[in-house]
This record gives sequence, C-alpha cells and structure tokens, in this order.
Amino acid sequence: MKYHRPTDLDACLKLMQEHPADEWRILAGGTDLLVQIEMAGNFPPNLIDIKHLPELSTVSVFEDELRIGALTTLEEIRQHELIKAEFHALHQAACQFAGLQVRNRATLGGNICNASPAGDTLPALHAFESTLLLAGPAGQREVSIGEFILAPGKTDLHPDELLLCINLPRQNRESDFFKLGLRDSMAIAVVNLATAYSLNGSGFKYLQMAAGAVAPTIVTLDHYTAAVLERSSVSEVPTGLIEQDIQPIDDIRASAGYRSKVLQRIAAAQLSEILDGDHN
Amino acid sequence: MSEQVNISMTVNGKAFSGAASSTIRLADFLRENLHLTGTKIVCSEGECGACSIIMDGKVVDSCLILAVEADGSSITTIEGLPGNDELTRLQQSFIDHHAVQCGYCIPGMILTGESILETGKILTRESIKDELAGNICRCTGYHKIIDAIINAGEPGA
Repeated sequence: MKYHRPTDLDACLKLMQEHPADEWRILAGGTDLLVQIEMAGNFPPNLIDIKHLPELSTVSVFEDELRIGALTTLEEIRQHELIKAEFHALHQAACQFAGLQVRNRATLGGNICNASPAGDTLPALHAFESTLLLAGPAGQREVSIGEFILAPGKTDLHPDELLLCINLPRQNRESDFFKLGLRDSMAIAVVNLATAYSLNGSGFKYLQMAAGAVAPTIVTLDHYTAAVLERSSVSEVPTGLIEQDIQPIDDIRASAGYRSKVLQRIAAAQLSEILDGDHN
Repeated sequence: MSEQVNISMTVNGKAFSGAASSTIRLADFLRENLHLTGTKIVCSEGECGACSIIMDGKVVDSCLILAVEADGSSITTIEGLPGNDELTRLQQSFIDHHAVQCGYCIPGMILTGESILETGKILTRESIKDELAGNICRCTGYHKIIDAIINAGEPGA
C-alpha cells in the first residue's frame, strides 16, 4: 500500500485522476475506513490522506450560511458555540455520536460520504436543508444532501470528486434531535429523528422532520408534517401517516414494525413537547 | 508489499524519527517498534478505548490511526505520565479509590481521564459518564473509576 498525503486540493484531485478509482481510497478521520480495512483484511493499493488539505478544515460563518469544512471533527462540531445555538439538532447529534476518542477523529464529511442509513448527523443535515460543495477536475458543484445520498453506502460523489464543505442556511430555526439506540452511548441508532421548526403563536409556522434508520436513506416525514401544519394540531393528526414516508427493515437491532411504531411515538412526543414549551 | 515511510514524532517528550510500514497501526507501532506496551489492543474497532493515547492534546483510539498519519504529531502514552517516575494526581486517585481490578483498561481510562481533567470544566458524574463512554471496563463497574476522576478534579485534591 502506498500512502499519499497531498497538501493542497489541486494536488489531491490530480492524484485521484492518476490512478483508477478502484485503486485508492480517501482517508479522512479513518474511524470507519480503518475498521472496514481491518475486517476486509487487506489495504487498497493507495490511501490518500486528505487531512492536510487546508481548504477542507475550517468552519466559516457568513451572514446567510454556515460553511463547515468536510474535515471538521464531530468533537469540533459538538464544541462549536454557533452550531449549538443555531443548529442545535446537529450539536445534539454530535453529543450522541460514538465516544470522545472517535469524535476527536471522525469527520462530518466522512459521516456523510459513508452514507449509512443510521448516520447520526444526517437527519439534522436534512432537516436544516444542507447543501454540499463538491470539487472535481471540471470545477465545483453544489448538491442538496437529499440528492447526494442515493442508497446505503452509495452517494452521488463521482470517483474524481472530493467533498469540500457542508453549507447550512442560517434560517433562525429551532431544532431538536432524538436518537434511540440499544443503549445510551456508543450505539448505532435504531431510529433517529431531527426536527427543525419555527413557531407561530401556538402552532408551527415551519416544520421539517427527517428520520434515519427507517429507510435506505434519510427520509423527511412530509405526509405527517403537512398534516400537522394544515390542522395546526399534533394530537388530531394520526401518526400512521408516517408509514407513507418510511420503508423500515428488520435487522439485528430492531424489527421493521418496532421501528415504525417507535418513530411514530417519538415524532408525536417531540412535537407535543415543543408546543408545550418545555423543549429547552 | 507495504511501503516504508519515514516518520518523525514526539513520543512522551522524546523525539522519534525512523521508518514505519505504511500499513502498521499506531497502536501496533507503539507496542512493537517503540516497546511501549502500556497501550493495550482489544477490540481493534474503536469501541473499547483500551488503546487510548493523547495525540496533539486529544484523546484518540490508536487502533484507528495508522503510524504514518501520526507523522509530525506529539503523543503521550501511559508511560509518559508524568515523566519523572512519579504519579499524576489522577493516577494516585485511582490507587486511593481502588479503581483498578484486572487493569487492562486502566491505561486508556487514565489517559481519557487526564484529557477530561485537562479541559478544566466542572465535572459531574453524568458529564464524566459521557466523556468516558468510549472506554469499556468489564470488572469494576465504573463507580470507583468515576469517583477517582471526580476526586482528582477537585480543587486542592
């Protein structure tokens, strides 16, 4: 295995073009990749360590958006004051992400590109309508997170492209994140749910709910939230509407039926708590 | 065949410079090449924390890092505490609270504990449980470990 450590983006993109796509892997935090390599028992011919690319390392605050470099670690996200204040669900997801050792290495870009249906940061990124900036030899392009993640482990990232940063529009939304795991720490989610909202007197003015681990990709609960917005009520809306937005499966952590039932309970409880005003 | 790469790092205050295989994990490199066997390897997938070390001021799992990635970094292993054959306040506190049974998880527990104390934040049992979630102990049941960290963090302890 040959180890590469490019120090600028152009050099990195060039390196990726020089080798066929199946002969290299990108190494960021390594907390998933090195486990995959360990389990597979062999290394790819080339490993491209992108941790020394300054273009991917910063969190920049603009008037209308927050730009999080793909290499930002989960612990950096957890500690970031503006993320805690304005993108609280993402802060909460970072707090419940693995343990301190893994959070100190694992990157937001890695969590996205792994495209796990249970990825802890993904529901919040969906709920905040994040977009991703990708760089390739032909230049840069921006895609929404919903368009980017195609299936478990599969994204729209072309083999010659790199994820540069994640853009979150600053829309003054309140938010909440809930993760149900088989235990509190170090657990892969059975269900996770991020809700972004704004209130209008006693009801919701804006409402977006994104759930993980209940379909091949993160899904937004559009049927349910549309009904809640329309009727200005939580208790009068049947949570069964959520079944139209999800495609849960049975796996070692839970059955499809349990996932659906528990998500319905969590979604209604979360919205009721928000309206009762004790969401802080 | 894996490539040999020249790396330089500071380990427990001493400069190291030499060749490392591109595929060797940092945990194995510390144990086998530098003979620092206080760093333990158990799960090899970042679940147990036995291989915790402090790298550039942050506690990390050395089983999920390649030695070549550590080039240029400063590393503290359990052998590096506190540097002159004495115990840190936290190490003494582990002894005072009998926070050790088989001992295999303890190097990782101590290094994570040191990194928790380093933040200077006010510690509660709940906050310590959160920060210590990446370190698994299968004998003590954690109470004594948490007691030891709380006590070491008290002013004047």
